[in-house]
Amino acid sequence: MQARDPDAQLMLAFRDGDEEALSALYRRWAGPVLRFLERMVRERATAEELMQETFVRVHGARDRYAADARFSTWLFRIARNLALNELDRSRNKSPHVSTDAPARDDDERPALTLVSGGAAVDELAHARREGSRVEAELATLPERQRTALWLAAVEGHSYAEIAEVLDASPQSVKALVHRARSTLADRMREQETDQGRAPTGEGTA
Amino acid sequence: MSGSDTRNQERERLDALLSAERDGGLDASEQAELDARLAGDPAAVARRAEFAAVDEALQGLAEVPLEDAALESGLAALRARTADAEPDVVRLDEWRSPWRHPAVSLAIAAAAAFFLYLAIGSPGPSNEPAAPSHIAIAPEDDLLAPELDLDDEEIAIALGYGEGASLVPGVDDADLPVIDALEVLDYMKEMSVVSDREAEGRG
Repeated sequence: MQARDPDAQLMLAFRDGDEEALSALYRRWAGPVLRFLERMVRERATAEELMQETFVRVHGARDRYAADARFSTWLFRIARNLALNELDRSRNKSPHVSTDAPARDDDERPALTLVSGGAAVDELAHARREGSRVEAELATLPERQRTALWLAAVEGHSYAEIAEVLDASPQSVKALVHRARSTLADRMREQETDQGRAPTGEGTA
Repeated sequence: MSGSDTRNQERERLDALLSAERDGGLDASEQAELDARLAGDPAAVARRAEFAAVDEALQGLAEVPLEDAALESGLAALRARTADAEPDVVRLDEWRSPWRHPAVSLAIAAAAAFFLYLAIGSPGPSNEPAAPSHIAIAPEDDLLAPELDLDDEEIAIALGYGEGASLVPGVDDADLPVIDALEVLDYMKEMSVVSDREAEGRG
């Protein structure tokens, strides 16, 4: 029982009839789930639909929610399962087009429409460039590596929690995250080298 | 073992320690080992900065919150969709593991042996088992997919460390195909769930 998880408490309150608790969970988690799903399906509109469907599933599963794990772990597991189903459906519809194939062409990638204002133009452009690069490289990773790294590095989940999402052992998750992070670091360094800039990790062992 | 292999193993070990450090996954002895590497190896310090840059870039993709208007619009849509919905209590209790079928278990065990043979018997990039042609599918109405139940010791045995061994953060290049093979097994098991359900549906 995750008694200290405030989200689990909200979910239990929702299970017991407090409709506003689900609203609070939605406001808290719609954004993170949407961003996670964007990395999974790489299409903004589909990610939005799946995000809504994730919360519909949460609504439908409220009576069997047991709070034996962090709420977010359960939530991301639902979202991932929905995304995997969607990817399979898309692949079956278009057998010659791989929906999760790496797309290095920015035109193929949905625009990041949530970028905030306020930063200087050059800083924003740099952030977009860096974000675009890492997002393109992230998309080339195997799905399990991508999911494991995202949940660890962005959502701050523990290896044990990610293991519940992926149906794996924590040690496997540790290896998946390590491999994903190493690959991205290598590729970003190669890109910097190709662009003639001094790589961050020049001289790395 | 060649000097190149040794360097690769040292590099993998360093990467594993640095990755685990970023996730708060080092124990005291591993932290001490990493500290020693960082103190005496400028390249290790540079690699640590690379990992930090990766995480920073990833977090940059996620740092902008949804606008309030979009949130409220989505919430209204959710309320509309679920206004008259009853809790979904079907099927989860009906799910039965495909592993209960001896034939399924034997088939998957044979596949496991085959993939592990490919991975362990012929290490190297050119001999890695092929990735599955498409992603494993979780049953659409099954929020809680079945577990693979591979514990650390089973993985350690698969990696050739022997019984009683535990995995260390460092994962050698030669181990990675095995991890891939285990992922393929995971994929096959999930597909067996789908096939089982389809068969039940036809029956």
